[in-house]
Amino acid sequence: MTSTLKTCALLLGAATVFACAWFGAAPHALAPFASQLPAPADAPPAMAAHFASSDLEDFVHSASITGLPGGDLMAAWFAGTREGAADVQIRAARFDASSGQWSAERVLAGRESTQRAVGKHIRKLGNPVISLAPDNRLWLFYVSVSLGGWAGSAVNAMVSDDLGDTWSAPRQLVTSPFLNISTLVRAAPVFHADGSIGLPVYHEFLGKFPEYLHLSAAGEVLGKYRIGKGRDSLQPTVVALDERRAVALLRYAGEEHHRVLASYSEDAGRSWSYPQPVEPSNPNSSLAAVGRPDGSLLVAMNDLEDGRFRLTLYATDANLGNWRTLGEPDETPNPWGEPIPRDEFPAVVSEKYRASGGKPEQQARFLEQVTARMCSAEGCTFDYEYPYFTRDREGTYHLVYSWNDMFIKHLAFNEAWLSERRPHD
Amino acid sequence: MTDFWLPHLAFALLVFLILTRLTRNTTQRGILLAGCLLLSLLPVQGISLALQLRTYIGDLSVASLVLIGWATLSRFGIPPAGAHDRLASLALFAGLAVLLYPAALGLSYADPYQLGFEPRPMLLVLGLLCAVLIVQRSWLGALALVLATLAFALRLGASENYWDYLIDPYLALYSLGALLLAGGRWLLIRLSTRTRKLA
Repeated sequence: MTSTLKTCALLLGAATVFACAWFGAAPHALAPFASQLPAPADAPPAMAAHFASSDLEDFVHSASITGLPGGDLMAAWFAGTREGAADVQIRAARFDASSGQWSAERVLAGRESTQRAVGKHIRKLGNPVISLAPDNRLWLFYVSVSLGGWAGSAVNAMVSDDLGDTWSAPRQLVTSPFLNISTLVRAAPVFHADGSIGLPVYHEFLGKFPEYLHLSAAGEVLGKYRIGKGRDSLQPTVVALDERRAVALLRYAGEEHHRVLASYSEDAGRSWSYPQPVEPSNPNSSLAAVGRPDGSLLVAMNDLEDGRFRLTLYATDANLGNWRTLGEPDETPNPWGEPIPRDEFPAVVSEKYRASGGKPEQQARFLEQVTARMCSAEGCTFDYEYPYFTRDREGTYHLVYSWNDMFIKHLAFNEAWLSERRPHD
Repeated sequence: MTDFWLPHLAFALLVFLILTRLTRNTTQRGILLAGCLLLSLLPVQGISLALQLRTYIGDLSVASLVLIGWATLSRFGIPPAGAHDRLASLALFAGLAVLLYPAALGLSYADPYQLGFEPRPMLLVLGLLCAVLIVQRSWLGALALVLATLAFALRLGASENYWDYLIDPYLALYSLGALLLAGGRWLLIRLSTRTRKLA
C-alpha cells in the first residue's frame, strides 16, 4: 500500500513537471513577413561610391550594412592580419547622411570580449551581420570559433538600443545539438510582422546546407528550419516576396551545377522547396539579393565560372526566370581575369581607388599595401567579393563588398539610377 | 560564475569521479569534491578552468549531469543504480541519440532538432515513458527525464531547445557504446550456453 502511494506521488510529481514544461512550450506560428517598403517618390538618378573602411593595414572582409533613421547607415565587417587570425575584430563605421562621409572605424567585438561574455575560449571571429529591426533595435550577429576551423562556428548576438552608440554584451545562440557548433551567418535577416527575426544561416560540418533561424524580437531562438540538405549549398540570402512567400538564393559549393541555387518558401520560412539551379554561374562565391518595390529582385554576384574578379549587378523577376545584367560595379581590366603586369597595376588600381572615393592623402600608402597584397611574380589580380545588399527606409539601395581585401566599398543608388541602366540579357 | 554554474558543476563532478579512486573514506571524498569545485574556478587565460574545458566538450545535458551526479552520490553511500535500471536508462538515451543526431547533422530534410523548439509532442511521449520508468522502478532514467524537463521548463541552461537538456554527444556515445557492450555480452553468454548444451 505504502509502495503504491509512493508510486502515485512520484507519478503526480513527474506529471506536474511535464505539465509545467507543456504550458511553457506553446507552439509558435511564423508570423507573415513585415510589409515591404513602398516605392519612393520620384527622385533624380543618384549613385555614389565610398569606402566604408579606412584602415589600410588590415585584411578586411565580409561586410554588411544597414540603414538607420534619418538616412544614416552603419556597416560592420571583420578585419585583422588575415582571415582566421586571432587578432580579427568586428569593426564598424557610421555614415553621416548630412556630411556624406563615413566615420572612423570602431571595434564592436573582439576575441577576448567575446570570450569573457560567452564563457568559452574563442580562437577567431568571422562574418558579421548588422541590421536595424522595425522596433529600431540594432542587431549584430557574428561568427566565432572556439574549436577547429569554420566548422566549429557558433553565432553570437549583440543588440543596441541607441542605434549603435552602446551595445549589449555578446550572447551565444544555441542552434545545434552537436556541441553547438557549425552554424554560421552571412546574409541579411528578414523581419516578420510580429517583430521576430528570420536569420539566414548555414551549417558547415559533415555537410553544407542552408537553414532559416527564427528568433523572437528579443533574440531568443524560436526555431530552425532547413532550406536544403547535403553538402553543396551555403550562405542563403533570403528575400521576402509577399506576406508568406520568400526566395532563398544559395551559394553553390558542389561539382555538378556551378550555378546559383534557389529555394522557395510559401509559409513565411517554415518549409522550403528543393533548391534548384538558376541561370547565373556561381564560382562558389557569396552573393546578395534585395527586393524591389515592383516585386522583382536585385542581385549582386560574381557571375563567373572561376575567380572573383568581376562583380555583376543583375535584375530578375520573382520567379527567377528572366535575368538581366545591369552592369558591373567593379571588374578587372582583363576580361578573363588574368593577372595584369606589375608595371600597369599602379595606374589601374590608383584610378579605381580614386573612382571609389579613396582619400588622396592615403593613396601612396594604399598603393604600397595593395601591391603587396594583390601582386605576385605572375602579375597583379583583383578581387571584388562578398556583396551584401540592403534597401533603407528612404528606398535607397546600399551595396557593400570586399574591394581587393583592402577596403569595404559602399555603393548607394536609387531606383531612378537603376531605371537608367540599360539591361541586357 | 553565476551565469555559468552548470559548466562549473559538470567540471567538478567529472574531475571528482576521475580522482575519487585516490580517496579512502567519505571525509576525503567530501574534501576532494570541495577541491574540485574550487579548481573549476581557477582562472586560466582569462576564463575559469571549467569554462576552458567547456570550450572543448561543450555543455553537458541535464540528463548527463543527473547520471554523473548519481555516480558521485553513490561514492557517498547512495546505492548505485541497479543493472536493470541502468539498462533502461541507456536504452532510453540511445534511442534519443539515434533519433536526433543523424538527421540533425543533415542526413534528412526533416530536422528533429526543430521538434525541441516546439516540444509538446516530445513532452507527451517522454512523459509517458517517464511514467513507465517510475512504475518499473527505474529511478535513474525517470529522475534524468524529470530533472531535464524541469530544467527546460525553468530554462536553466542557455538553450531554448528541449533536446539540449535531454542529451549531448557524450551521453549518446556512452549509451550506445554501453548498450552495444551489454548486447554483445548477452549474445556471448547465450552462445556459450548453447555450445555447452550441445556438448
